[in-house]
Amino acid sequence: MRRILLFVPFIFCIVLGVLFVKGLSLDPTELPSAKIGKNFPSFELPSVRDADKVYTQTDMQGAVRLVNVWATWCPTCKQEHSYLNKLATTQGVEIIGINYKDDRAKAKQWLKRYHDPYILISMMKKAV
Amino acid sequence: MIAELGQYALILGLVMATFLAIIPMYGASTGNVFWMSFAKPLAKSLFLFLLISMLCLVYAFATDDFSVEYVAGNSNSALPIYFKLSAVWGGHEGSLLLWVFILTCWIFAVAVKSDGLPLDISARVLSVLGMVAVGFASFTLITSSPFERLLINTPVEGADLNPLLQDIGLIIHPPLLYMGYVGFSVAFAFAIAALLSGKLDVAWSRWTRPWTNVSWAFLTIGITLGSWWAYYELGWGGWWFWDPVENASFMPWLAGTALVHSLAVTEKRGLFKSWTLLLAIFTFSLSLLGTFLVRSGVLTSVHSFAADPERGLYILVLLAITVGGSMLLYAIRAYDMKSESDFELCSRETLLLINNLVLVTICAMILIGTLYPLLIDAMGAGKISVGPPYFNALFVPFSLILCFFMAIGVSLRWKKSSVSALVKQLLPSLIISVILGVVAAYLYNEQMTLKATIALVLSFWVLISLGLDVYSKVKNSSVKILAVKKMPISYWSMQLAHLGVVVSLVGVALVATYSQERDIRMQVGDSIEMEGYRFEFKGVEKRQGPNYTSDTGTLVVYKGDNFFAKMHPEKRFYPARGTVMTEADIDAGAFLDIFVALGEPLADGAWAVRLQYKPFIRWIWLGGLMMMFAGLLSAFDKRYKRRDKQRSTSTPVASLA
Repeated sequence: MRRILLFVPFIFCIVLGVLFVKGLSLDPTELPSAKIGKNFPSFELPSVRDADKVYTQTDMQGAVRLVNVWATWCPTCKQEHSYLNKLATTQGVEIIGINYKDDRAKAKQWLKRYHDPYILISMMKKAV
Repeated sequence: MIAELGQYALILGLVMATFLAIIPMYGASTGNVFWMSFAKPLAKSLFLFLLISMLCLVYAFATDDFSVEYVAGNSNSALPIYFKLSAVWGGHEGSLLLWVFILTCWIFAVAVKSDGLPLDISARVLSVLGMVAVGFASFTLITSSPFERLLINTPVEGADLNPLLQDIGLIIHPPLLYMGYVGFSVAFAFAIAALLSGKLDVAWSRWTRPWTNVSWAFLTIGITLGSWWAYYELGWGGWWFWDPVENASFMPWLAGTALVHSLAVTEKRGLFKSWTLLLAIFTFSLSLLGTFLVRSGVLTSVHSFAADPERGLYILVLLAITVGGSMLLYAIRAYDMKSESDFELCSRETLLLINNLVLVTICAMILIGTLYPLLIDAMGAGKISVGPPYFNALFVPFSLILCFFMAIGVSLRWKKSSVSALVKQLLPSLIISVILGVVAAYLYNEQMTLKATIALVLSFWVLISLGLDVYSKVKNSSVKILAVKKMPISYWSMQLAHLGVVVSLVGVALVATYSQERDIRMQVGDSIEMEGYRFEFKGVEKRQGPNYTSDTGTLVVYKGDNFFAKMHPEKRFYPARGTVMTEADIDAGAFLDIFVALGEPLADGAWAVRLQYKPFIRWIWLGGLMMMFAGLLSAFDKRYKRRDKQRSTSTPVASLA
């Protein structure tokens, strides 16, 4: 019995070794988003296209959709816009836009100039 | 060219280490004296070559040789000279070379001091140390040589040492810490030598003890310095974060403490032999584990060097051979260990066994907490982090339990103590301690907490137990001073070490319970009160340093109505790396630290200021310092001095006859 007990540290080291080999293939700095699987936050925001219309989160429900937060003052949004257009037109992805801290007239003009792929856009003046 | 010399010296060192690993070991297993006698010269030449290699790297830093990639990555011509030299161990490659160099220093010391050992033991010990050296020297050479050159586009200027490291802490913390980590390889080597030779008598533990105590002392001061450095350098006032790398240094310390105690039992009573062997292997394995965790990228930590899974795999293989091999050897050979005596339940042996169990339990809990995120991630169950809530919840009660048993343990005799005598001695002192502890806690701060009060009670109890023990040893002698002198040095180092634990305990308990912190916005002329101190913000002005520009704030502190101190916290900008550092200003006192740091500049010339009130925080490190002195002192005990006197008296005796 004592003989077997003496092997416990050795076995423990083997187990740790296996763990570490697995650990080397992982990246501890890669962090998945903490919000995956959670409900979309509820909100009530006015539309960009029609100033009197108000959208809530229920208007977005019913299908798998892509929500894009963008603004006219955001250079990277401009860069990715052509990709969004492609998604909407050739692949039929339904994109919902949330225009953040922007001007309604400017937003409408920007979309007219660069093409509007959104099925619905709402305006957000500050963080919800 | 000097860098190439350094590389070549490292290669030669590796060659010496390889011979050292093989030749004396072969000699020991065949009883060949000629082969065994190679151990010492090989050990000494190994040290010589690593010394040359290290000096070459230091030279490259001293002369701003940016054609050496490692120098270019960690130094800068504007860096003050003392930082240029300590930048040698500021990054992965250089610190690894330091690790190997310190290993060869210990190997050299063992070679020089091993004349009292039988030849086959010293040959085996040095061989095992040579094997460790082969592992690390080859790792350095093959994956992480600090001597790599940047010869095509040699940079004109270096990337500068990380400003966090431009501090005296960098100069002393890594070398002393490594002395500790690496020093446990000697205890490990003795254990392996004993297992291989089958000779595990009391002499083995007597030889191992001084090496273990001194390594333990270095590891203690290394950890203490790390904590002190984090406190004043990082700017948040914290002194221990249960960061994976901190844990990686604390675990070998815990195992090492258990080893120090276990060796005492084995030497004095011939007991716990296989337990001591296991601890010796275990402690060094934890040192190596620490090396792996820091450099492989398996865990994230503020301390990690560049994370590189390829290097991680190499170290893991090293670990598998060293730790796996030694554990297997233990499993096969330790069965033949027989105890030389036995002991009663109420005896010092029992308490030391409890001591070992508690220390190993704490170590295991810290290991679980440190590795748990990795385990969860490896199982694909998500990313979690384990932090202070877990560690503190477990460490605090167990360390209080440890102190409780420490008070009892120092009062017990070996083999057998009478329970009634023990109760008679300790119960009054326990009652007095409870009274003293509660009164002290109340006087200090009327809002007492249970944990701090218990810590104070236990501290008083240990103190009284230590005092009673000293008293019992001198009371029977008429001339007290002579009795004191007669006590061996090892007795005083034991008392000093236990006293150090108590001092640290008091520091930790009081600072954890009663420290205060304020983060506030201050305009010029604003003033704020905290714990009887008034802080007046006088504004911030710009200043130029050797390799940085600084925003230096001025705060005048009043205690009650009297002027207390003028404090100058800084925010420094280092242009070479473009980083900003917070330099806190600390008014350090024996019983209280006032800690002031600048946060961010706000609108209208206001600043966010962080004020902290830290009572008794210096006691934590004072305790560590005391423990270090105790460990170093124990190496001077008379029993380790060579028996030269016996040899010199033999001739006169012959002539008398």
